[in-house]
Amino acid sequence: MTALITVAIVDDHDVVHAGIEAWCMAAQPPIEVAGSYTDPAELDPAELAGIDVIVLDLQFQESRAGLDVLRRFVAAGYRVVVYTMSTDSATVLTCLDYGAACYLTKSEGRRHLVAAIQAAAANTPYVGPTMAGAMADDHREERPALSPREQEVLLHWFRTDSKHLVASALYISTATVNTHLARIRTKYAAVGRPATTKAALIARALQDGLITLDDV
Amino acid sequence: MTAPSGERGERGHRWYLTTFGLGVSLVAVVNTLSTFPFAMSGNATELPRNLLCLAVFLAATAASALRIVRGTHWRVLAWVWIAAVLGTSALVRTALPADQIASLPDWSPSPLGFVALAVLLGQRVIFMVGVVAANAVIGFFCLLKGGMLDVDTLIRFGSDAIDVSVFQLAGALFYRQLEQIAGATERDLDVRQELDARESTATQLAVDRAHRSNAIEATIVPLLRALADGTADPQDPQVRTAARVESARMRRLFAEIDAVDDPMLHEVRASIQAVERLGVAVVLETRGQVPELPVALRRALLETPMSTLASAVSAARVVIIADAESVSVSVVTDGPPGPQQPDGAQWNVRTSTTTARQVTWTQSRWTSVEEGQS
Repeated sequence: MTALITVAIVDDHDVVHAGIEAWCMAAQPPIEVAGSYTDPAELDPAELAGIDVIVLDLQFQESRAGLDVLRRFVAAGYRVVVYTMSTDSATVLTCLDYGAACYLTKSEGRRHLVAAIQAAAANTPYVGPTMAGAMADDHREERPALSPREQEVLLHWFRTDSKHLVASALYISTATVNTHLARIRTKYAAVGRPATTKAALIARALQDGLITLDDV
Repeated sequence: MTAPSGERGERGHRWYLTTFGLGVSLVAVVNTLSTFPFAMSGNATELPRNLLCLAVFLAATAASALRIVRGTHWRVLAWVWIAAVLGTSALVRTALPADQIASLPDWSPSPLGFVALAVLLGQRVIFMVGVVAANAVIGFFCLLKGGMLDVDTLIRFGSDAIDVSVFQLAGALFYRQLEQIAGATERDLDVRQELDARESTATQLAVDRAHRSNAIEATIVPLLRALADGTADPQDPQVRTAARVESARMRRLFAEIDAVDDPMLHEVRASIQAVERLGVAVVLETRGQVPELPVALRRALLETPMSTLASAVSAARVVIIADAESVSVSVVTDGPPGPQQPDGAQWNVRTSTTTARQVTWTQSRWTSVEEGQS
């Protein structure tokens, strides 16, 4: 029997809390919402001990410190799924650089959020369509080298939000689409943040789902 | 010979003004140098004053010629030069014996008029009249100072004053008229250019309207006619889908005439609003800046994806990805594909439709260079 996934929601809108809680309860297997917070400034990472995944908004009415909060939680060892309104590529890539497990926009909704929480809890990569669009639109020097096929998969996934359509258009299976997306996410994890020590490198690889505890 | 037109006409009038100004400057120099030697026949001990006057006249003329070539206007500087010219001329004339006024040794009044004309070109004619009058007053003052106010002297002086000033005043009047003609020509040119621009815009609008009218005639009018004569049943799902597609097309065609920064995105939004009113949830994502595309190309690019969008049942995803060389418009819906646009190929627009598990994906892509050639 798999362990129950626990999440904490950090967002300043009650309706978002209510919506995510309903989705989590309906998920298979169900996800337990173990904490709901509206003001990240008052939140001490130590309070969240035992939480598997944090769902974090970046835009708060009281403060604009969403990215700092993300960095604080990631530094404390949490897996964070950013769930916000912004579709801006630079914001997405910055969040990935800061160590977010996944970036989703609120328009991407239930299907992607539940899957992203489950993936983050299981230490496996998950790429949403907006995240794929930002990765395909990444022109920074430090961007990871993607093969033409990987670039094609990213763009098709961004355009369609349907792995079946991507598979059909590229004459591959949906499993191959998933493999490409996982490999791309892994490449991004490898170049995102500096890991100056071996311990930090292992911690980051664990966090990004590159390896599991069994591999250590 | 054809009359000058457009910019050529404008440049022609400016050229006339510049040439006339340089001609006046040349006459001023020649007149100064040809009359100056007569100073030697007068009081030789006053040579330094005469040389100073000569230098000021030549310098004022040279500076004026430079100003005329550059096409600039003087305000204060013109009066500084006029004061210098009149002052040095007065210096020379007051040193002359009264019986030499209006005779050969009194050389400066004649070139002074031409020098002043060169300095004051472009100013009001009344200023030139003032300078001529001041020149005469200086001469009269010299006669008065020497007690030479007999009738013969005054007649000779008056005749000489008229002789040396009539050409300069005529030159000032001529230049003024030339300026007014040039101004009127430039105004006519502006009006003509504005009329040309309006005519060009009206022509383009007429062409666009004709295209829109053709697009409506081809698909929308037959549908409306069928609905009107009862051959199309409004309850028929196919008729309802066709009505949605045509309604979205009309909205997009109307949006084409709006003046906005990003016309293509504006036209896409018009189509999105049309389906949102029918309860379809639409997600729009854009990446990159859409380059400026002609209306016909935008239409070829949008026609099929927007028809698919109009056929959406409850949800749609619209993604536009653009850079300077290419634009792709992708629509994914839970409805059937829209009718294929037949003439996209002439614009380098390629359209594809993929269907999987009741989801339709229509994508149109334009590239500035035909793929495979680059």
